[in-house]
Amino acid sequence: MRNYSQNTQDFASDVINGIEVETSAMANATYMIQTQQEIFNVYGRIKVNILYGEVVTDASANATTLKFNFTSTTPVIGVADMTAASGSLSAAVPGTRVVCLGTAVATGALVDAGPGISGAMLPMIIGTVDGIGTIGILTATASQASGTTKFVIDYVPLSDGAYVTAAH
Amino acid sequence: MRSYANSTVEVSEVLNSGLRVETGIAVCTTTIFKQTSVPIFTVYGVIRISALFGEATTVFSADAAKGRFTFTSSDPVIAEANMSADSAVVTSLAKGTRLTLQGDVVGTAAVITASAGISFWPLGKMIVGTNGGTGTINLNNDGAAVSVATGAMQFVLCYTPLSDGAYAVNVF
Repeated sequence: MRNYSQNTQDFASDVINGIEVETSAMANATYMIQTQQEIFNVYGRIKVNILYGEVVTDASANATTLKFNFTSTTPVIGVADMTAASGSLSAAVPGTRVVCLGTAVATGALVDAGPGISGAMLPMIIGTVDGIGTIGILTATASQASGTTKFVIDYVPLSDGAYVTAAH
Repeated sequence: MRSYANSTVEVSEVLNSGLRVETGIAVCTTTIFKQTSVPIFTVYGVIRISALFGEATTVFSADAAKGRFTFTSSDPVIAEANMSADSAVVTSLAKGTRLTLQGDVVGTAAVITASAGISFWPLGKMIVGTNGGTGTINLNNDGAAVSVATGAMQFVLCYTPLSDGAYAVNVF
């Protein structure tokens, strides 16, 4: 078995999957309350290879649905859906992911049937050349009362100097 | 969060998406969407296209023109042929809206995304060009007898070579 340094392994991941940015574990009771929440800042135009939220601590037993969207301040672009709403996140256990499938724009986000296993995701192009925007989430149907969720994006730039930062 | 030098990030981009080439900004008042075919990238040899799209950099006027991507070769001589079919109309395209080659089946319509700033990554990787040949990828909008009065667009091509020494350059 080959033995690579952690830096080399990280770089292999970033080359194959894209550069990874993660939020902190965000409190569901604060950020999944049926109001718009921004999770990543997007500078320029990027290719999103992977985008998902992963349950860190058990979600409450509320039938919360979630969709990913994009908003731009420069140029001004109103909030627009990247996905349609997912299925219910009620009582989702740690390791369960809600995934941006990334096929046609506004395909429903997918909640894993079981924790730790997610299907394939296809890339999307987000942002505009020299623009500034955010990838956000909007939950609906019911608010979450407890639990935490971490969001992850893997991307590569698609305009000079484009990059992503976590909003939390 | 990992921190890389910009050159390293660019390597990640190239290995992930292919080599990126961009045109300058073409204005509708004089250059594009004038019911003619306009070369946007010159292709030397055979390339595999990861992504090809135009992004509106200035809002378009309310003119119901359509656009499609084509390929023409001067060496060997190959007449202009469709890479995609005509898109839907580009009427009043907002800044940040993209006209995208879907790239799976030759002749599939180019897609205008519903929302500015959000579009799909092409489903397929089309191959264009010939071994040792020279050609151009073009934007053609003779499919609707309508020109666009105002607006501007920048075109982006991501590709990898598929024959020795193959490459692509922007025409303008």
